[in-house]
Amino acid sequence: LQMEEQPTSTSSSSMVGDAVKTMRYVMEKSGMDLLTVTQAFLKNSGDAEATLHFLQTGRRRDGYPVWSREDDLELQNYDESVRNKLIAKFGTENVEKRIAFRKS
Amino acid sequence: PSVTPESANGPKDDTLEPSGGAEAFKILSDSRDSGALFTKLDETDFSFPNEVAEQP
Repeated sequence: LQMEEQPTSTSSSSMVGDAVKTMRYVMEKSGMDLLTVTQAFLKNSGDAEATLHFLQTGRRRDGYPVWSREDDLELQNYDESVRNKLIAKFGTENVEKRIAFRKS
Repeated sequence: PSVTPESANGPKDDTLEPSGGAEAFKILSDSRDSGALFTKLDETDFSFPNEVAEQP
C-alpha cells in the first residue's frame, strides 16, 4: 500500500464511490449494521479483508488485536519505548499501516 | 489480499482511508450529524452490537 501517494486533502468521487461499495459489501457479508462496520474499518486500519474477517470471527486473521483509542494516542508519541511497545503488540507492519492510515 | 465483491463494479481498492470512509459513511448514514457520529466511532473503542449502548 502506497498511502504516501494518495491525496490527503480531498476525497475523489471515485474513491468515495468505492468506499461506499466496500462498506455495503462488508455489511452484507457480515450481517452487521453501518455503525459496527464503520467502526470495525476504523479499528482495522481500513483493510476490508481484515475487517470482514474480524466481524465474522471476532478476531483478526493475523492474530493481532484491533486498534484502540489508547493505542492511537500512543501512536502519536514518538518515544522509542512507546513505539516498541506498539510494535510488540501489533507487529511492525501493522504499526506502519496504522501510521499511514492515520495520516491519510 | 482483497475482498472481491460479487459485483463486477466492486471497489478498486481494498483499503478505506479515513477521509473516503467518512464520506461514504455520510452517504450511507441517515443521521443528521453523521460527521460527529463518524468522529465518535473513531474515538471510541470497538464493541460488537450487543455490547453497544443505544444512542438516546
